[in-house]
Amino acid sequence: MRVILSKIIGSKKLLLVLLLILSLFITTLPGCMGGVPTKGWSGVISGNGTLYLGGMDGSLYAVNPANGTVIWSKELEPLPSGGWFSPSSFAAIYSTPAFAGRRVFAGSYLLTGSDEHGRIFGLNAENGEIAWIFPPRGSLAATIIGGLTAAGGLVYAGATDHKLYALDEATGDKKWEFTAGDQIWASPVVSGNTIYIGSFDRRLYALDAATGAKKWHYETDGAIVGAALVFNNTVYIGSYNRHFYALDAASGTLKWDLPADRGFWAAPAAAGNAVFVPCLDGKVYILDAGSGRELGTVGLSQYLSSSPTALGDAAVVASPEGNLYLLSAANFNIPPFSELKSTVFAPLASADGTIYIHTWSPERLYALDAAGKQKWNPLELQKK
Amino acid sequence: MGNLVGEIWKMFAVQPIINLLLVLSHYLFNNLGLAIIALTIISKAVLYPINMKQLRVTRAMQEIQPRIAELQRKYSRDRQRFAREQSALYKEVGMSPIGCAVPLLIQLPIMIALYQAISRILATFPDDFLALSQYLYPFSVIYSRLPLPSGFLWLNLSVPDRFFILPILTGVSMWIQQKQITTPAMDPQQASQQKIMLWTMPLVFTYITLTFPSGLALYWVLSSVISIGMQYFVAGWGGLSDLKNMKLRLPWGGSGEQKPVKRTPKAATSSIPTSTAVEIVNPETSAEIKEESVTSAEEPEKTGGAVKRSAPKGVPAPRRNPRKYKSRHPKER
Repeated sequence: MRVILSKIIGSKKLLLVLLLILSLFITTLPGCMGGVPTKGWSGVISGNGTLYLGGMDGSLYAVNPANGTVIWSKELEPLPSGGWFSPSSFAAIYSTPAFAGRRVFAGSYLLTGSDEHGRIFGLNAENGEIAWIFPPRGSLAATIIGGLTAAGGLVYAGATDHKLYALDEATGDKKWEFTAGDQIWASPVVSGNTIYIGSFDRRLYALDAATGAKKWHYETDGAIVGAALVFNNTVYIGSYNRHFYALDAASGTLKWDLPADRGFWAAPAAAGNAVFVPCLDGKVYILDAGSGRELGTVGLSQYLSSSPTALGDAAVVASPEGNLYLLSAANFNIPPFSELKSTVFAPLASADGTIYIHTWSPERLYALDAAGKQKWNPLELQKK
Repeated sequence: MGNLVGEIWKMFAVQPIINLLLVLSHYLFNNLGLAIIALTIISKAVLYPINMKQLRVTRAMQEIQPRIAELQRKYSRDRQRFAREQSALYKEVGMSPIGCAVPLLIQLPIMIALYQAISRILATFPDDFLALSQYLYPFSVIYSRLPLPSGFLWLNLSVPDRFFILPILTGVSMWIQQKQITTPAMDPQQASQQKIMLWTMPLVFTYITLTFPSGLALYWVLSSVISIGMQYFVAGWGGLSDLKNMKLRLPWGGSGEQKPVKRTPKAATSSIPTSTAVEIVNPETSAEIKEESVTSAEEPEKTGGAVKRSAPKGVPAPRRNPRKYKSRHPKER
């Protein structure tokens, strides 16, 4: 051993090679620490008989819900070549697309070296051709992480430059923008003529959907990461400060709040008269939508970050390990109805009795019925 | 098994540091840069006894290098004998080469945990912020602060320094640190290795900091600066004192002549008493190696006109080889 070491130390070339290997090892250490080469957690949206989702390779996919085949895919941001000094550069899609009329809308996430870029795209839903891009020239000095929402002829997107953009669905022209105090990662939610959006500045804002004028805001004591839920004139929102709030939708006054052990990341879902709230403490809190009374609590994992979807009077909840649960207020202590063995971070979606799950590792699209039966073989999305 | 080790590592190493960093940032104006600086100072303070021990052992090991070189020369054709004699020498002076490695081995996991904690908190990507959630203690002070603003001075701590200031500082501070602990080489091979180490590691880390979040570079620079200070108190400026006499050469710049190097009074008055100062006349040939017998900064004790070797405890004076060495009083230089 000593001889080998002395030979290594004695040889310049060998020593340099070893140091090079060491530097490469250190450079790639974040990957060894649990990081992954691909990123993104776009959910699935159903529109006009087609599924749309953003892939972790930075492409938007249109998928046939009948057989799980890709109808078209469109690379929104060409992957950067990753120069000598920027090996961590990559493109991805975190935001869940939106659909309206014959258009599908998506937001991009591009990291070039240390610079963040993002754009909002309007595409022809039938063939994936780009109809418009916002901004028309260049890109935002920010990324789009939250999902997009289309309503009333406008498409809404929050960005990490603290702004909520309202764009014309047809042309991509900016109608208005609202500036919050910090980054926006949450998806906007439109109800009537009001749009609700949370920000890292700890506030939930209620804005006029047509003009962007602020109606009210409610201040929590932590960042708001997930989307709000509007149900029965009440706005439900979880904050990273370990509290879940129910607010009057019209005035923003607090109705009740629920403390938890850890923060809230995912958006809640409503089914029947219950609200299903996943928490980073790994539990799902099932609450009476009106009074906030705890109808049940079930621990599913170490943490929960995927937003559930309603299916009849029940809600489908996914654990990060890929276990799917069909929970109702009456029946929640039940085993998973499906075990995908794939990591799930993306929000779940359901349409026509089918549940769609975009898994993270490996990246796949699953289609299941409520019994856990797969409609078609999982679609492998990671092409690069 | 791997999962278990990972969980234990997470629970006892990374998680406490992450939460400490967040609490520090809470009390330091919600400033992550100040929190990283405070954490670096705290970690250096906690590791101070181990660091000092390692520095002293390393220093003492360097002191007996002339004797090892002598053995190397003497038994150049008999490696087994050399190994035996070397072990005997270590035994004789009461040291073990492993003694150098143990403090380093203790520090290494702590350094890795610090590195991982800072990386996690910087949360470059959205996924990282979600992953960070799994490391947090259920304290309100922590949850209400996240995500931390990543701005500090001219830096965005979660991305590389676009002005290249921190990468340059990292390289320079690492070079100084490396140079400080470099002692005059006994033979050309050793001199060559030292040159490579002196330049390669700072260059490698400069490159790494060009691609890593600047929060990590901030930690590395500060850590190096503190180490330089600690080394100064143990061994003075060390190899840095030679700068004024040394013609700087890149390691691949050929076999340039190196000017004679001399120990500084500061180095001689280090906490490890120096019994042997070495003057290399021509390290490329290693033919003329002069030995100076001193006892730290004190006058050498004389017995009957001969220089009495005043070896420090645990570091005996080297044996004489009249063909290679000649004694000189330091004041005669």
